[in-house]
Amino acid sequence: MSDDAEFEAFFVESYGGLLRTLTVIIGDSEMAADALQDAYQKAYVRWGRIRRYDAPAAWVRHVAVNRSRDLIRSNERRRRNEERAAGPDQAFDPDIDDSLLSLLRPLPARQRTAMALFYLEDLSVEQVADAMGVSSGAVKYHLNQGREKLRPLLEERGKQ
Amino acid sequence: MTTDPFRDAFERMAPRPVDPAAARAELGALTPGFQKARRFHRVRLGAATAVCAVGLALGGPAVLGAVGSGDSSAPVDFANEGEPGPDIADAAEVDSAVDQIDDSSAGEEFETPDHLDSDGSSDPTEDQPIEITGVADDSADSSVPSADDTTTPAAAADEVAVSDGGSVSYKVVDGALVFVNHQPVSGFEPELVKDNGHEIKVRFSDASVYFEVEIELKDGVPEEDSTGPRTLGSSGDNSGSGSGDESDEHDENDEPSTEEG
Repeated sequence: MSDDAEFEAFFVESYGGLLRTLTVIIGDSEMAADALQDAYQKAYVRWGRIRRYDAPAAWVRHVAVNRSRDLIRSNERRRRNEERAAGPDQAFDPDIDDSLLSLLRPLPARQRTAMALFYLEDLSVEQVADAMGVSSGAVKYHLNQGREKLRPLLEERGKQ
Repeated sequence: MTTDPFRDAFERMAPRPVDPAAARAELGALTPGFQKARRFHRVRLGAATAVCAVGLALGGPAVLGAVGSGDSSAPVDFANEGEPGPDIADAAEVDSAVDQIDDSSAGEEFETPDHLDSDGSSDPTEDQPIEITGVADDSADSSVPSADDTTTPAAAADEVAVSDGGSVSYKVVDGALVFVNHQPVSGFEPELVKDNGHEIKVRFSDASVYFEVEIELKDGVPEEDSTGPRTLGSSGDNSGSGSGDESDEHDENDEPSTEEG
């Protein structure tokens, strides 16, 4: 299998899940796609090396999560501006099912990232820590804080 | 069905992932940009390699040191270009730390070697054919040294004395000074004035000025000196960038000149 064919197989296999996770983390599918594009481009340029990794997708995920930091700030600025102009609940990406996005929206980016990686990507705490570039203890902290904030929101939705 | 209410909620409420056909279409749209980035990356690697090669050929470590004397205050982790940054134990520092890691700069602007690559820059696109003449592929089996290579060419084992007119390669073998070669700067003609086993003297001259490089073995240790520029056919002094003190050991036909620090 040629390098390009191998990269294509890798891309097709990993792109969908990563895009979903990044969309949940960032709250915007286009920005998520941009972050992933950057990450996949880096992987493509270095594919000769990346392809030998045990988990090339983990490398891409890490790069994309790092990139998402800037995008989250940018998105939050944009959302605040849109909220001022159009009121709340109008800011998240309207093109996708925003039920999870709106649920996670009150969470800080770190907690959102940890929960998305843990629950959507089904990563271990250690893998989440690696993807975020933080310690396992920090991930556990973010997960606990996120759960504490989500619990009442989920209960409230359950009643509806 | 899991018993974790959060996992259930995430699985139930998360947007549906893109299907493979859509992913393939997305890749088709992105591929031209990816290929362009890869070519650019190779050009940068090739340029870095060429600079290293020229630097080693002309002046060795001295020239490379001068070339690399720019601001290097920001340390680059060459082992992790474009990759995850340092581990951060304090959760409160995650944001600021990730900012510092900014992978976009790591992989793109300064693909650090694995990087001389930064961007992360530094990289292996080893199995791909080289599409641009003169561009180094960083593949492991490439005959062209990659930016990541830590080895230096065989010639680098020689010592190199530098002047603005050119450089002189030499080595010490069994207590004797051995001239290897000279590399004039473009426009200069080299002349081996002296080579007697304990002293080497090379003059690099163009139409109007010349530089001299001298290496002398003193107590088994080579001492380098470079002088110039000196004007040919006049006794006037010339300002220049000669790095060494002017020597008294001029040939008879050398034009007298004043010292230039």
